[in-house]
Amino acid sequence: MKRTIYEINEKIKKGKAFVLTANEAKSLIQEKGTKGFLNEVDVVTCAAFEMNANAIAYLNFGQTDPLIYFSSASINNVPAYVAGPSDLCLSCVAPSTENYKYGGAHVIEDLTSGKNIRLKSIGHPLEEYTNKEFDTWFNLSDLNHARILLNQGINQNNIIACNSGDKDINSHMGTLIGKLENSTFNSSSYLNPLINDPFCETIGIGSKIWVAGAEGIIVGEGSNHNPEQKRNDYDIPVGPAATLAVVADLSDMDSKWVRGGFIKSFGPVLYIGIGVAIPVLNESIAEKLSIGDENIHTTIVDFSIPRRAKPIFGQCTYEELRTSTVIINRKPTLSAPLSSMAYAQEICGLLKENIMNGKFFLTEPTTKINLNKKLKKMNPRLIEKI
Amino acid sequence: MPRKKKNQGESSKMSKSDSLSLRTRRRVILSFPPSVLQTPITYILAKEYDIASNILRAEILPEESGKLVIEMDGLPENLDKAIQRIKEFDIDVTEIARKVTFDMDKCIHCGACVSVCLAGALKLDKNFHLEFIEPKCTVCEMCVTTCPVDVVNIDI
Repeated sequence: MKRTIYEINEKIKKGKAFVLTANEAKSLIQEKGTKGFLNEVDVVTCAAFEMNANAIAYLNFGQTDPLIYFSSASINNVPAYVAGPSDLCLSCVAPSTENYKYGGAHVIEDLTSGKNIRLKSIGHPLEEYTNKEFDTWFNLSDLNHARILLNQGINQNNIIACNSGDKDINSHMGTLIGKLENSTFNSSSYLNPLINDPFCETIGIGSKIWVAGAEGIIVGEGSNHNPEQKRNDYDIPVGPAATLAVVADLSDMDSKWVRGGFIKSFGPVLYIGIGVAIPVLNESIAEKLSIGDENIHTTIVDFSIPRRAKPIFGQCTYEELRTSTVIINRKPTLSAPLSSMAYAQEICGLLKENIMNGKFFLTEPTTKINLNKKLKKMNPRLIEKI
Repeated sequence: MPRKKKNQGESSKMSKSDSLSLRTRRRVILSFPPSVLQTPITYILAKEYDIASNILRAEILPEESGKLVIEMDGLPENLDKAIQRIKEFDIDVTEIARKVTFDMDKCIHCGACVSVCLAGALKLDKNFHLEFIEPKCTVCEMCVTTCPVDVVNIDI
């Protein structure tokens, strides 16, 4: 049996679509097999609530009187980059000059929750744009528009971080206690959209997704896109692989799903909820949806050496990791996640509800994601090559 | 620095359930009567109980009663024995209870604090929500600095 996205959308309009969360889908496939599952289910919702560092917000302010052409600006003391006479770009990882634990990600959280925040700006002394300084309080409703580009919005799998050295390390994967005392991983594994669709068959450029309550659109491959990562027997990559870039409007977002965070010895990061609806179009997609934690592998990486190529301790499954003890180098080690499974499950449920109530429709991707790209490395080059 | 490490030597043989063998820190106020002012308390703590004591405040005047606020860092069983021993000197011991509190409304249940809780006081339950088992907490404060959204606080 096969179905198209158009047919599914017609069903959603009539309120007859059968939607399941990724969690419910796994147990139904086990019960009925892929064929039975394909006959019944139209859409499966997947979600992730992971840490984002590669994100910028684009804010368009209304013009002042007299006119201003920003030369430098800061929002809540977080420096912003000028992108036009009255446009600013705000990086999520930019720290505030007053408080190093507050950064661009927190400004975005404050914006979505409707808080009043402060803009301090200096203008170029030009002939048309004569305003030299402008200081104001504003909130999201005062802006023409505010959108966010999550350049690594969706990640396919990630690594497990541990530390075999003597000293503790504060890394982007949290605090890693020395002598392999703990390990952290950062993926929503079986709820992750790209694990449920490992070859991006239904997700592509132009796909509409759920971003923190607003509608977002996938605009292409993201930062550190590495689709040539080794895959296991179930076609799931064993480490960081494909990533997708997402654009969404801040003004429709629910502040519950947008949170600024601070990682010690790394800086401000943005936690944002992402939900993707995967249409169950054919048997091969149904088969991919059946893969559970026991068949998703990930690579154990030793962070004790601060270099690009790090030692590896082999692989293990997410099923082992979720038991909170994993054997690394023959030593039982505490393992804990860094991405919120509780929120991811909640988002799956919310998106399912939205689809069943006819508020969210699926879209056909306009272009496929490029899965033949190589991840490049940056090495110094001392002479200019002609 | 807040630090929680297993006792040296046998660390590799110990299982995780051996959480009692972790070093913890406890703050106490010692009130000395004039008669015991000469007792070398910190020396006894270090020599006999392997306790590192950090003096936070001291008000001892000759021929008068004194007050000493110290932070003792050692194994829990040694801390108990040491406090008992100090009491035998007629020194009044008041413990300053410190507590870790979680602002659950702001928590995103990510699990970053679980990764550093070697005492096993923090866990994710079946629905992946954070669970704090307070009796197991040794107030090592590792979770306070690890929490990305700043929901862990120390109550004194």
